[in-house]
Amino acid sequence: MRVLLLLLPLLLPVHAFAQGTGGDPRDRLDAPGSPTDRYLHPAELRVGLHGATESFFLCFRRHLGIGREPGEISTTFTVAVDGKPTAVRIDGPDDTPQPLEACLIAATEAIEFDDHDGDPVEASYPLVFVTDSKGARVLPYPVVFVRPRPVRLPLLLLPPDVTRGEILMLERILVNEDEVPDEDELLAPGPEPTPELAPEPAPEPAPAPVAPAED
Amino acid sequence: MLLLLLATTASAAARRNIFYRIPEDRLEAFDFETTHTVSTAFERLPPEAKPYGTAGLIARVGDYTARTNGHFERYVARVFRDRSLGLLSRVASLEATIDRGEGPVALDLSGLVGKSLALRMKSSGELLDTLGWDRFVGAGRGGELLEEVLMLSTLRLPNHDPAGGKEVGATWNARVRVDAHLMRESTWVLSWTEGEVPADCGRCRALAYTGEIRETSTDKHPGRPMNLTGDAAISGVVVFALPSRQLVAHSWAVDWTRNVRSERDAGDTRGALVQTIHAEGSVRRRP
Repeated sequence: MRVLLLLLPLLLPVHAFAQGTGGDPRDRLDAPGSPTDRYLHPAELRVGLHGATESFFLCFRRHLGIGREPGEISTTFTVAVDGKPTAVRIDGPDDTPQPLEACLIAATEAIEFDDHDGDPVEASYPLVFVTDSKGARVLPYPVVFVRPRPVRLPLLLLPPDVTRGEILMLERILVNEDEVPDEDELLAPGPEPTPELAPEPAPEPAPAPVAPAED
Repeated sequence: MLLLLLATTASAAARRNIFYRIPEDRLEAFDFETTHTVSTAFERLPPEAKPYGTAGLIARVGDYTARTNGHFERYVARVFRDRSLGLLSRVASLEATIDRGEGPVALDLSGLVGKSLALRMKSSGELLDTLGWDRFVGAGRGGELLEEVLMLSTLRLPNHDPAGGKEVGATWNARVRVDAHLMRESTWVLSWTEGEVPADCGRCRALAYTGEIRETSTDKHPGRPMNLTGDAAISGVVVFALPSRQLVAHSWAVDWTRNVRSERDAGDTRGALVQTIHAEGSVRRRP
């Protein structure tokens, strides 16, 4: 019996003891960096955008004058399947200098995200700036906004050519609680809905604002 | 002690008789074709349906036959520490038609080309995890038509070899994560026998199976509170090459009856539908 107990560890895999009942997070298919996850997540976008903070900083420092009120300019772009940002657009106040816009577009286009197997990802990232005695500087923002792609009615096997109008009608019949449908609106498929950009599901908590360091 | 070790080794060897040998150093490619004949009946329409002309909706989504063909590629992206495989299957080409009784009409499913599904599985086909279904399935995407192609090409094999006219039973529960709110849960009860080797496959071995699947899934997404209970009869044949044990072909037929119910906050039934689905298809290794 004693010999059997001594041999027991040899008969069982060591990792069975090491991982516990929950398993090791590294063994998840979507563990960060795992080659089994071929889809781009907002957190990966955030890493790429934070990596470009210095480029954004230089744009603001060069092209935005001293004495401006703190504000926000956003860069909106689409990450193609090869990981390159395309259709970059800068949205800011009316008096945003043109050279700053061009610089921010170039800085965004220079970011290299991982190639992925998903649909092109439309994302928006706020560039929050403050000014100090040397000019403007940008603060890394903790959230990247992406257009959600919800899974709709996944328990029904619907024809692949079902229109968005028909999906909306089914949802309003079967699951939506509080919407009173407009028959005219829904009987015709109608234009494609354009959902608002929504923040990623679980952003990390925002760091406390830090006053820019004096150089 | 020696007897115990011998018994353990012998039993492990018996279990290892049937498994997939998936090459870890190269891409595999398979042609596929599927046919889904779907019939949907609304058993209960809630008052919310009153403003709509549901007859037109039912005619559009109710009865149809969808056919697909194309090919997919797969490779071992990762070998986990327990020697399970992280298999990545990617749709490489896809054509589809839909027929509502007036002849087939081409479907544009190009959005599925390039999409990948990751499976963590043992070489026996035992499924440990999946990732990527949220990119395939859901109204308007069409990836459900490829569910059998991507999942049955690694169908879990029996623990014991059904050689010599034996019939080997196999029962397991499968859990397929669709997204954070929905886990498709099913119980499979299959009976495996020696199958007939196709004439065009010289050194091959075929295993045939028949059985039943029972699914009970609850969608916990607050925006789509629905549940599904369903039963299916399934049969198929898996063909392996010898001695490599690599998958050569797999053909199947599945007949589902699914009861899908949507619920109100209090748990009362809101709408109820019955879907009957006949799905058949095959995958075949590309030369």
